[in-house]
Amino acid sequence: MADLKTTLDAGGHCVLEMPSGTGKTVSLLSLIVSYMQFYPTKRKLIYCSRTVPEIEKALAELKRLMEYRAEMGANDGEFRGLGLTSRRNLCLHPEVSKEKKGKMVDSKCRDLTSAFACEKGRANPGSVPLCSYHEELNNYETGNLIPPGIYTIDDVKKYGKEKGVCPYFTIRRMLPFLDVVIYSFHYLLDPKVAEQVSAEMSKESIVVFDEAHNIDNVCIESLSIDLTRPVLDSAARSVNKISDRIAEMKETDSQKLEDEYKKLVEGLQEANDHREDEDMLVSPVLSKDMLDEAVPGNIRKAEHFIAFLKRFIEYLKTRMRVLHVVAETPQSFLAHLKEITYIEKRPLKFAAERLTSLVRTLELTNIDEHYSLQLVASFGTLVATYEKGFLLILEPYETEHATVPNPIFHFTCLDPSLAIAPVFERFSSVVITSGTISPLDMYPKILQFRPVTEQSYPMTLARNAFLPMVITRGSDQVPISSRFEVRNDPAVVRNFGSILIDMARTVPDGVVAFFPSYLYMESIVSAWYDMGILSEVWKHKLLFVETPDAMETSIALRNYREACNNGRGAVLLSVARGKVSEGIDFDHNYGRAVIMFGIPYQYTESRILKARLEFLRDNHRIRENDYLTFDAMRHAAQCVGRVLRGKTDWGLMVFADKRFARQDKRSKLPKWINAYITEAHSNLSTDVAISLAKKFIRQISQPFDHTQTGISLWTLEDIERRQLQDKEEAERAENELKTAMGKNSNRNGGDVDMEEDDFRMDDYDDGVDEQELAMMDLPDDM
Amino acid sequence: MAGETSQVRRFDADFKKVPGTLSVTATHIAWVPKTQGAMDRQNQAMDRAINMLASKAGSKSISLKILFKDDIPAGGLLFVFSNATSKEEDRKSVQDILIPFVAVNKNPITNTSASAGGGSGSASASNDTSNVVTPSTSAAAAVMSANSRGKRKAEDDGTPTSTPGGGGGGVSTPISPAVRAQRKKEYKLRQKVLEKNPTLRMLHRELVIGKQITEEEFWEGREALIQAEEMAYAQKPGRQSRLLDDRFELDAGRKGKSTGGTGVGIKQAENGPVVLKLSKELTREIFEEFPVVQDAYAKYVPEISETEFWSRYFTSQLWERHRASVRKSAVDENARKKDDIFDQYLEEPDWNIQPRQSLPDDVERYLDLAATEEDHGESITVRDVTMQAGRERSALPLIRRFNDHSKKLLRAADANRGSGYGSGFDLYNEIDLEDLHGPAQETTIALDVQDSDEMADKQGHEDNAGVLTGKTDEEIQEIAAQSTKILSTFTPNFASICLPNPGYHTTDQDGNPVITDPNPAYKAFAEQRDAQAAAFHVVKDLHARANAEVAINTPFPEQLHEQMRSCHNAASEFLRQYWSAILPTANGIGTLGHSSLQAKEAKAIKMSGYLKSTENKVKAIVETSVILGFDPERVRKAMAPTVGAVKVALEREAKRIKRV
Repeated sequence: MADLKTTLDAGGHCVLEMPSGTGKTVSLLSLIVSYMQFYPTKRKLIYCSRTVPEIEKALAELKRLMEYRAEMGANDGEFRGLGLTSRRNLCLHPEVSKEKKGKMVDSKCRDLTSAFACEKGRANPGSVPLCSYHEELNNYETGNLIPPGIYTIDDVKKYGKEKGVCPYFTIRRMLPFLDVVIYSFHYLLDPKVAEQVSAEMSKESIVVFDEAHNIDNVCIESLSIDLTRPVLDSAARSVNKISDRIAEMKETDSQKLEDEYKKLVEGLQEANDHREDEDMLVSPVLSKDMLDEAVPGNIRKAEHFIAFLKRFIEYLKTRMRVLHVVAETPQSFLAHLKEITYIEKRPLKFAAERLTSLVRTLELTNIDEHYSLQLVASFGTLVATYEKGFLLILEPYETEHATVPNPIFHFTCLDPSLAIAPVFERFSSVVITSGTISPLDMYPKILQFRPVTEQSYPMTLARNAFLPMVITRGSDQVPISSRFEVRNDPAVVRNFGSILIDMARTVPDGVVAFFPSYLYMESIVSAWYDMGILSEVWKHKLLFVETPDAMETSIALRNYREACNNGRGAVLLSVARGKVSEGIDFDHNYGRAVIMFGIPYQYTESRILKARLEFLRDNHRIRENDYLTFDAMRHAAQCVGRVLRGKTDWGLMVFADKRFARQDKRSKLPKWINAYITEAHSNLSTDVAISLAKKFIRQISQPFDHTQTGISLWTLEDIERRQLQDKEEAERAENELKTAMGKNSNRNGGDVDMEEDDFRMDDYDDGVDEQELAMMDLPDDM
Repeated sequence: MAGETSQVRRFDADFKKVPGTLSVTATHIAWVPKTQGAMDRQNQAMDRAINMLASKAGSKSISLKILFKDDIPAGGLLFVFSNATSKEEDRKSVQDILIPFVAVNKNPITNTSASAGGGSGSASASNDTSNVVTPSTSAAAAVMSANSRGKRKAEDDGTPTSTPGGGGGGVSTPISPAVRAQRKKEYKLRQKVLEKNPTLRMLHRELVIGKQITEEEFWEGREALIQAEEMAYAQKPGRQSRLLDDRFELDAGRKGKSTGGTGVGIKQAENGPVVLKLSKELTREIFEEFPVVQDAYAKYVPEISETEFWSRYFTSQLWERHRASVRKSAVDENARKKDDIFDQYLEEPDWNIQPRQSLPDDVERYLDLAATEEDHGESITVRDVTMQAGRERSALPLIRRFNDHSKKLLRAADANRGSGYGSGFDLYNEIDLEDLHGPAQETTIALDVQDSDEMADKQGHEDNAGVLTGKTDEEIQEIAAQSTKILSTFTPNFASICLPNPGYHTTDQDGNPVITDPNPAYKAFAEQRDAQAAAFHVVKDLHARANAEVAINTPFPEQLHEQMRSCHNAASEFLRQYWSAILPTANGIGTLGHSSLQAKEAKAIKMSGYLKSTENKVKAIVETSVILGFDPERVRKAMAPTVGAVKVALEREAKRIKRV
């Protein structure tokens, strides 16, 4: 917490690694909330998490924290906190909410709520279907759509149901008035979304990226676009549709097109005066001055723009016919484009904007049909906007052995710092934290920022609550590995299988197994079935497998948890980097053991990855191998870290690959895991590992006094004692400290001392630090 | 029939073509050759019999093969009944006696085609080559009927088989079937309990079969055992968790059989004849797993025979699909013949990314992966080949089936309980870290002490006393501190205890020894030395004696040991019976509902009678030991606790009688 506060005071960024399941969310929240409440200049907290379950959990933590604060006498008054998620998760409309696909929900919702639909509907009730939930919102005062307080996503939905208001728009419209906003990374990082939802966030806001170990990939993904042939075909279709529509409109309502033309001359800014309910793609990080510029003349007219798009699509299609791999920079692509089609860079830059404006003018409905066209347009915009850090790769075949071409045109971002740079620029304090973010220096390097603090906190355990083991050989002494050359070797497959069988036999309740990739999991599962390994597993536990469909997997997960609860026990097979590995906790009986089959390396044959590695090597001096290992190990750590939540929890962590035994791999694991891998446990064969596991389970199941008081849970007295001690030491440095802290620290000096003994941030329960923080808020108490 | 007594029944029977007599007692079955030494005697405990095989009705020789546990003797015993007039009845009566044992011992669910071992001759020979369908419905029914017949027979006869030593009383009086069933059940349970506890069985044999106490008396007070057994017995094995179609287990070891070797359903020998093996469980499982088959069954079975239905099913493509093996189905998809019934149920494998079956939408928020997926917006990038889920299309139906199967199993287990999970989903529970709770209040378990109030009162008075009376806390603390201090600074000074040898003579100032009188310091030294020597002796002696105690004695002779144990066992059982008879029980009446006060009284007296004889028994054992040349003292010592316990009981009994 001291580190965090230093960061906040200094107005800089920081990277923190805190072991998973030690209450890091609440530690962060409690400090920041107190901090916010203490200073009159209300700084907003933007808390970004990765998945919806995590958002929901963070909201619940916050809610509880505020309850506690109220209990302790802090007056938080008008404090508001909400979480934002997609319409799909919030919609209450009886028909729209039935849609499974988020895109469909968005488009249907737009049809019912867009400005022109509303105008029409209100002017002439019944002519256009409107969403009653959305209409109802207009009866509420702006900025006070929902009473103060903290609402989880489900709470808002419930509230919406009661009052008949739309939860999505409630949150959207409340965004500028909130003290805490919790949403997913994408809303801040993805330029396509960020402009809409995060534009109003003040500069003073504190931004927290929780579970940020994967943030660079999110950044890259948000600026990359892949085009396939079906996409292009469908884009071509929608261009035709739109041109029909334009022709139609010309006859009926040519005035509107004229108006638009005029507006475009004045500049995009006016044309796009932001409407929250317009969800077409909005300005992928175009600079301010560009927005004010007039749209180039040759695409101002609707027909011209359509022709322009048609040409562009045609060009892309021709490019796709090429049957060999092409990799080129945006510049060379643009040069070639100009040569063939005379499309210049500047108009292309405006393609996405222009399309948005056109769609609005035409009052199109069902915009999900035009999704592909949007993709193409934003592809054009991105290509024309960025010159560095990007690469265009055309892959005619999906795999090396495929014979049927299935071309993909990747426009790939190589530099994650591009997407996150606006965030670092705009917000003064950005906190990046996760349970597994080792090695810490990697992130500042690849994201290109300079943190004020980098810290990795150890875990204080009253007992060894988890047992990491590295299994390198099967019982038959055949080394096991997921290396590409040997992964399909029957001996390896069988040995992996026997680990699973033995674990299923030994470990109570839930066992989770992770594979390095979907491809491998799918092939190994069928191989295991044919080898009869799975029927062995079935004797001990039920078996669930992650499937491509998210909903299906959710249901499998629920059944898995049920099986763990009722004592039947279950095994879940899943994929590192997959859906399950991110955001689902396997705490307590849901995961008594986690097995990592192989090292989750990325697919090294991927050209995108190769390009990225090259980029990293050239620009950041990170060796390919280092990065690959780093990337694999953070995912492995993330997977195994899922089993532990809290110190009463316990679990086995099994790393089944002989390469885990090597020091260079292990050193990249987070400190708190690595510290517990002893040399003796780092090179085991299956049978030895199983007997060790048995011993561990027997030992850990003994009754244990879990009172953490004095060890990692400090009572007020402990803290005061520590403070006294620190104060004496601090007195010397105090003057120095004051100058460093700026003028605020004079008032707050005492607090700084208090923070300093909180160096074991993970060890605090909300009770203790809340007491202390409550005191900070109300200095009279002291 | 050669039955002579109710205890032992004898039949003429040949064993390995040697004529002899088969005798059946309550517990054993024995065969003795007619001519001495012609053959080894055969003697087996009946509770080891697991199966009987009878020759076909109408065949020339009337034989009965009895198989025993663990296949010892190997291959079982084959008896051919030789009494020309009554051989069939002979066999029947032997079977009737054996049936309950076999029924108990045999795994209740076996589907081997040879299991139908009833006397009615419904046995199927294993070398049948025709297309025989033996749905286990009939097989099971046969076993059941055999069972019930055995039951009825045993009870009607009133043979002591059913309740050995049961006194025989009451059997002749008509009892309602319910009571009879109850008794039968109880008997079975008792049998099981005995089987599980060898010591108890020995005791049972000694006391009950030795007619010292009755069966009922023996079991009184042991209800808990029976109850536990009953509960264990009542636990039904659930559905097997394996997937239907495990060729692996069944085919294990049978290599090279690839065609049609589905293991579960149908078997085809190399040269053609097809044997269909099917059990009720299997059909049920198939129906559960694949509702379409049930559908087809309902539609077609009256028209085509069951045999045909199943054999067609197992050869159909549908079955091939249902077996869901990735490799197999790919290979001989086309090799399978067309089938008009089942082919219409064929459908595309469920191998698209989106599952075919519609899914419910109500997953807890914490598990909702779809929400996240939507939240992140549609991914506009394509993941690389290895990370695209569902690329291996053929694996998908398999994976789906795994999930589905596991779910079904879960539901099957939960069916009785209803879905307890899923409703009250606690939000805070998910984020709660229990280790971060403050120290909880200590939970203490209150001792259930009688007259606890009184105790508390007493304690209350004594509490004032504290550790040291009349001292304040400070004083006590001071004392403690002082003691600690002393202890912590304590270093033993051996020099002050151990005197150096000053030499016999004192020296004068010049250093010359003064011879006149001994050095006084030396005297002290000598004293100490002597004391040391004495102490050494004492310690050594003690050590030797202590070792003598743990030295290994010669073991008791086997015969004596056996006697002692038997005596001890009997005595403790009598004691148990005695105490249970006289001690008040929780509800005031006897532990068994029906034993009234009078019964208890009678029992107490009876038991005390038995107990009185214990002393004599012990004496007899001691005498035996004298005869055997064994140290009688040791026997007496060994039996002392038993005798002591008996004495206590007898004294109490004497007092009690006086009081009455």
